[in-house]
Amino acid sequence: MLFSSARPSGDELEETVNTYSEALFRLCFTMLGCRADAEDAVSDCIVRYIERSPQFRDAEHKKAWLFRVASNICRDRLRERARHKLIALDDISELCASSEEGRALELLLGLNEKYREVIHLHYIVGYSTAEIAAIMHISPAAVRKRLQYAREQLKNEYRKESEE
Amino acid sequence: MNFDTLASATAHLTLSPEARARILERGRAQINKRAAANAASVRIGRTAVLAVVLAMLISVTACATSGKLGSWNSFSFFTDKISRSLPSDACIERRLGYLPELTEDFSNGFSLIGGSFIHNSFTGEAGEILEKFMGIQLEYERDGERLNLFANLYKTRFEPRGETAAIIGEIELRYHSYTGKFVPLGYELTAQDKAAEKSGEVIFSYGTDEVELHRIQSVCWEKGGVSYCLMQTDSSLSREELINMAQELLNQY
Repeated sequence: MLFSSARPSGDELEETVNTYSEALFRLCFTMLGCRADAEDAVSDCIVRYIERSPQFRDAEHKKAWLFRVASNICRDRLRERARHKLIALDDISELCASSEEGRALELLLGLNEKYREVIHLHYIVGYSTAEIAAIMHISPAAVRKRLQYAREQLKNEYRKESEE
Repeated sequence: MNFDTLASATAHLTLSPEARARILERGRAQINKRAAANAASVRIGRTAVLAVVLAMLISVTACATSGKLGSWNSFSFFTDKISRSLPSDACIERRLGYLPELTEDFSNGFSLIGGSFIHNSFTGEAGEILEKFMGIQLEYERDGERLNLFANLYKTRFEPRGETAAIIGEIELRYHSYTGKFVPLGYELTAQDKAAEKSGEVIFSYGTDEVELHRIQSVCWEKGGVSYCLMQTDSSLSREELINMAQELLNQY
């Protein structure tokens, strides 16, 4: 029994997919490192949007909800991978326009998933630490800590690679 | 490391048109599946409809403990059924884990004709379970007219809907009424429908063969942590009579 009776129509579905699927795909790819898995995760996220039919205050609320659900789905998939020891990451160089971009993306994908997620949401989507905290259900201080740690990690890895 | 480079790298990550089409196709299939499920749930009978109505008596805007409410889920087994008399206090307490204040008859002629123990859960917006709890639903009848009493004990806090109708001791009785509009699948909301839905005056449910309008009124209160609701659909009862029934139940204890 649904609390909300607002059921997305076919038009709303199309609009949601057109507006958010690319951004969701980028987040899912950043977390999963694999095109096929990221596409599946976006698809699962859209299905969940239809199943839950939440009532949104505005477009920002809807976007944040979709990001949160996509992140949860990606985390579940990562746990599944860990259980089954399945890793099938794409060749990053094929996906990027330059070697510099490829290296940046590889370094990001080398981070733990919780750091990848905050880096993506902050530097790529442009969310503030408070907004990320709301999406991830953690404190703003925890977001800042993760960002700081992720930046240090990236810096160290980047330096190591440059030295090599 | 330059984050602009990273942003530029991820900007090249795009969904293929085929992948986007697959996502849309799966979404449409899900909409159809859900529409069929909605139709089934409305046709299951009064219990599902009553549960929808009950859920509308709490506000979605204030879930203090763990984010906003996504859904209120309810079900009961055949063995949860209650016949024309109330089970013993011991039995009720064993099934619910608490003992709500209930009655078999009201002085205005409404008598118990059945009910059930209900297994409930609140889920959040992303489908996570916020809380599971047990409740009881009792149905009363007077000359073919029916009325329901619900008692639930949950920790999640909500802003109740409705207006203060009376205060008995420290207990506030809240009265709420609205129109439930049950419409066929594929029914397109008119501008008037949308305005009424937005204001909370009309709640829509999908899956009936024809458009049906039902007037729903309720009196709710909380005592000893238990939330009670007396609720009637398409009622001939006046607001005052419903409030008096709530007072009568409160005065019995």
